[in-house]
Amino acid sequence: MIRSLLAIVAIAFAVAACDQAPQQANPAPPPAPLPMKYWMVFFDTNSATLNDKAASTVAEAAGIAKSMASSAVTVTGFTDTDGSPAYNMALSLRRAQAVKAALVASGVSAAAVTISGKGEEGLLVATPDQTKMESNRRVQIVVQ
Amino acid sequence: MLAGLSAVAGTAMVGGALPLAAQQGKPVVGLRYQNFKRGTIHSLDPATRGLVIVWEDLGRVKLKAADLVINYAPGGTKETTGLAAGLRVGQIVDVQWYDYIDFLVARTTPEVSAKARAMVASGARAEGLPDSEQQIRLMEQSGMVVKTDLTTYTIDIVNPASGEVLQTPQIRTEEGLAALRTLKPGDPVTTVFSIQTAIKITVVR
Repeated sequence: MIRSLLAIVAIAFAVAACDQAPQQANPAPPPAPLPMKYWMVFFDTNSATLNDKAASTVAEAAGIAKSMASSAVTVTGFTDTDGSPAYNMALSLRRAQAVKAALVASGVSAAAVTISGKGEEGLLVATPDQTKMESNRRVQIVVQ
Repeated sequence: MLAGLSAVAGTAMVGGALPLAAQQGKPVVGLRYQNFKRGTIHSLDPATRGLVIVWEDLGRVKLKAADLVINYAPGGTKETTGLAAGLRVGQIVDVQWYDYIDFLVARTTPEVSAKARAMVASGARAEGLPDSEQQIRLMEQSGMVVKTDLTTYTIDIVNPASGEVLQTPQIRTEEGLAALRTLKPGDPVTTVFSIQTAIKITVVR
């Protein structure tokens, strides 16, 4: 019995050795992740108007987007919890639209920009309802 | 207190008596952060002594060449660089370098900001190179925390001046990790990291 088992094992090793492929080159490294950069611009309460600082940030993002071949720009608007959720949803979208308009004015193709509004979802800083918080009144610009 | 603890992170880890430079207040990048790897030169930036290396297994990395890298001079010759011809894009090289280390991770206060500025101005010393005046440059990343990641040990920080969000290198010291765990989005944070610095580059072919 043991002798039979040993024979089977020996045969298996022999077959494996015969089947062994020649030394293969190292597999190609995984493709590098797409370069991605992102920015945030902040807004005054109940405003979708870009202030000077926000405009400067958008211009920088536009410059990067234009420098990258086939770049895609994702613009997402957010609000704080001051006001009603429905109103804030619309406000966040207006903020995203304002940023898109500035990007396009800076030379980014409108077709390359995708916008969305998240309203009170995705608070950067968790707050109770009806709380004014500048860091939550924002638009995120992702270029990749 | 937190800032104070974190500020000596790079020196505290080396164990035993602190190196002279650390005793003098200059951060020291410990030997444990020294690496050795083979890769291909992807690009060179003579203005900053920068170079990008593509490792054989781990993608690419951006480094600064310390002044110890006497063959850095891109396109240089044996005559101009002393011991070896200058580096060129496409060369396969063995690189000895010091990795990133966090020297300061703390909520921003005027004191922490001043400390960060002082650290960046002084630079760091590389442990194991006692005769070298070579400094490892330090960089500051400050702003508002956008995200903390306790799996990659990094912080996304929005730069208050540009609005750009940048991710820190991996935080590796115990003091830095302790500080990381106390931070949350919206917090003002100041970090200081050493820059990845090559100290020897040998051309293989």
